[in-house]
Amino acid sequence: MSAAFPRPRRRGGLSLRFGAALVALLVGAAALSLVWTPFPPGAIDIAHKLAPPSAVHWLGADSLGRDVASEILAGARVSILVGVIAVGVGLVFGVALGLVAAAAKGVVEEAIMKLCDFTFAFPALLSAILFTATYGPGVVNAIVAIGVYNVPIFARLTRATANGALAREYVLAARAAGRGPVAIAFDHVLPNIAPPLIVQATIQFAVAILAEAALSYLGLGAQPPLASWGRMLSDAQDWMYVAPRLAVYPGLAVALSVLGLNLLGDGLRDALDPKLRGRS
Amino acid sequence: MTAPLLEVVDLVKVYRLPRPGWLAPHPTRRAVDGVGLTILPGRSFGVVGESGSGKSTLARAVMALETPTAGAVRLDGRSLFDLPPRELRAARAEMQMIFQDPYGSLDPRQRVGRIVAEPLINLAHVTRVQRAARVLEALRAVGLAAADADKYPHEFSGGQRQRIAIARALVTRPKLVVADEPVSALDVSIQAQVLNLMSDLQREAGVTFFLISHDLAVVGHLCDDVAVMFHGRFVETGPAAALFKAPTHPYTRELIDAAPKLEEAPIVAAEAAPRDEAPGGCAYAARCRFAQPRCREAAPELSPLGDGCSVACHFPL
Amino acid sequence: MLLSVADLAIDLPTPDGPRRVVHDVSFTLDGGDSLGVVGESGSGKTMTALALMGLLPDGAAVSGALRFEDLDLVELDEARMQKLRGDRIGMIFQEPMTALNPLHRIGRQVAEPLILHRGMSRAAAWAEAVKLLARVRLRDPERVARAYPFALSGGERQRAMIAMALSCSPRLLIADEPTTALDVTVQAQILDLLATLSAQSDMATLLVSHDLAVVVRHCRRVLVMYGGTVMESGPAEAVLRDAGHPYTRALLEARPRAGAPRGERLSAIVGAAAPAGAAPRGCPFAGRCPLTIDACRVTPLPTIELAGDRRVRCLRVAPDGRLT
Repeated sequence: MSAAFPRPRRRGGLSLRFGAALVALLVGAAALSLVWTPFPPGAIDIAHKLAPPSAVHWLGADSLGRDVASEILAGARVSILVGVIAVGVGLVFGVALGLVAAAAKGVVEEAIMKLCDFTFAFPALLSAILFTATYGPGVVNAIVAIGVYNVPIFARLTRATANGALAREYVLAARAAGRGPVAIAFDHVLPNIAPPLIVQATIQFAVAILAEAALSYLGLGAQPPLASWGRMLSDAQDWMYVAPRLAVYPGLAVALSVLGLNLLGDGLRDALDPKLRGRS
Repeated sequence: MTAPLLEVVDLVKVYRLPRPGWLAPHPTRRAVDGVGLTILPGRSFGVVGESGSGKSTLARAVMALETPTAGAVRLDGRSLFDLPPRELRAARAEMQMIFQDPYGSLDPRQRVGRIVAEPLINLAHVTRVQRAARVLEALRAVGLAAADADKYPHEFSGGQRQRIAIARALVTRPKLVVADEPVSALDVSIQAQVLNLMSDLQREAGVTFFLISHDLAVVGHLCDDVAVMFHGRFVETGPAAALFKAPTHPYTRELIDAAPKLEEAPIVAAEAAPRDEAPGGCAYAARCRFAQPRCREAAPELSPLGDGCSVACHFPL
Repeated sequence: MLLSVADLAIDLPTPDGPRRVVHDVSFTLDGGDSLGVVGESGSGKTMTALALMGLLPDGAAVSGALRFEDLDLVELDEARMQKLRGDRIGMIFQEPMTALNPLHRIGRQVAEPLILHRGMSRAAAWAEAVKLLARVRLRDPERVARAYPFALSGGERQRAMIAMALSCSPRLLIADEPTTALDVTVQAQILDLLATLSAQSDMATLLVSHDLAVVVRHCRRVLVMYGGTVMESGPAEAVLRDAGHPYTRALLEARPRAGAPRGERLSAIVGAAAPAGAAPRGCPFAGRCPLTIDACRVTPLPTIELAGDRRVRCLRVAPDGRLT
């Protein structure tokens, strides 16, 4: 029999730190871009079109002479905006629906779940494309299109975990103590289902960033002069053989943001377990 | 003649099970099938039964956590299921519950002080300051320290958690405490501690327990009156000492014989040749050693034998 | 000697380093004999049983001598251990619902060891499985074999598990809390069944339980564990009648007695069981024991051999069995 002791994982540990660092980088970039960027984002300067990286343009310039570094920083703004609002909408409405479904049971629960299934039946990205193509491209519409899909995701997760929480004896004890259903939902159910919701939120945030990039890539998301990583990728396509670096920078930005959020989600899942609190 | 603390009258709880097919009717299960009991203040009452007997359903119905299909539950003369919701919540101050699982009945994300204070939140006449004082009083009564109020449940052992649950049940100074298998999940040495605590509370704080358990010894230790439950009905009731010394129902006899005892070897009932369930007859007839044809035709009613004992059997021992 | 365990020690990995949850455990078991291991949670009894089957969690380290039928179980690799499990060593667990695969019919699960170890064909194994189900006194064994676990009651599932464990006529049966999750009437029947079956086939039984009454009434010898080590061992009758160790005595006195006056104070052991491995030297029961002296906390436990194949591990017990 083996005498080896596998390294036990500490709370979150590496995932949490790495993920938090990358997300901090993302947020920092967006915040920074609000007060300063090397060049005004969107400022066209044909004279320097396709300039390679130099002391002036740190990451070079794109096909219209826009400074790539500034565009990346400003693009972070859009990504975060879309992520926060889309996930926020999903959380608020999704969790509410999920709690109602879990508490009400019966016909109400069935109806809400069927509504979720109905939404899932439509491929998310195609529907987002349809929506923005119909109602016009733009950041706001992109947010709505992506946000709508978050609602059933959180509703299902909330219903499943809330059902589990409602079946626990401490909920019965709270009823025996005279607490009403709303008080129980806020005091006992939500705190106990929060960890999986938070983890899902980080995942959905990453998905939202990807979706926004995809929509912008297709020209349906953020419109110029608004900077968006997806649009940068789309522009870079035409110059693939001349300046491939133009695709690398926004691609890397998306990849690192998504990676950071996923790692953060993983790390949070462990860190939020109260049984591991007090040890570290 | 003291007024009864708790009265249960003809309580029935029927569960509707999922139907086997779209057009088939829903099968039903009579978890509690016409149960009546009276608890006098100061005389703890125990219900003994195995799994499926309906005793937990009975406990929840008494606590008004489940609405019965029929029958009434009266606490201090007031019918609980006829009260408007606000008065029912106020009435809960008088009756509290301890659950079986010390690991599941405490919210893992709340501190102990908050958990113990929960039943007080609804009581309008208790201020926040008074709440804190009552929590400390309750913790002390169960042998825990004031510092424990700031800790989380996972920092305590099973026995200590059960004490926290008892403290929570005591904080409103209730007259009746319903305890559903309060010591079953605990080690023997810890069981003894908790049972001692419960005895002390009976003696010193005047708490009346309504105890549900499968363990005869535990029920005998804490309760004055006992009822034996089988398939949703009481098959025998009476004062604890008399019932355990001279049971009159074959099922009670079977329970007493089978219980693991240090004093003597358990007597295993020769497994009765299996017969089909006879609807309409005595529920125990299928496994009763002494069953006669009459037992399968008519279900016996609980009838008094004198000295406070009653039994539901056509041929009591 | 069918099974012999000497100086067994088990270390489990924890975030703070390895923790010794079982130490200095020694016992022997002959074919046809029955040994009950009794202890509360944290006593190490389940870990000991798992060590015998090679089912300890990943990263656990076992030291000491574990010999079964001249095989050294500590050195055995997983492949050879698998050959033993289900064939010469059978195991029954506490929760029949989780120990049985909910997606397979009972008959198939009972037949599985026969196909694996005896090379029987599916059909032959199924037929044998039905016979085994009848042997464990299940009503309508054909129906049970065709059923899935969820359709059976707790007692029926446990009998099915016993049938599965006995299918290849093992020499040793390890039962870890086999009746704890069952009603008391069913419990009595199952224990009686186990006793009959082991007598019929000269099989040795190792029964692990927290219930002293169960162990003492169904096993010829008993081993009392606390804090990861053995406190007392000997013939069950003798230990019951005249317990040598203060812990055993406390356990015997802690149970409410049927027929005792209501509200009689039980002699409870103060405090709570320390997690196994907390007292590296000295006696794990020190502090909770009413007879504790300073030496108890630091002196390694002696093993006092008493008459009648009895052993007590306590500083306060003299070689003649009396308390000092």
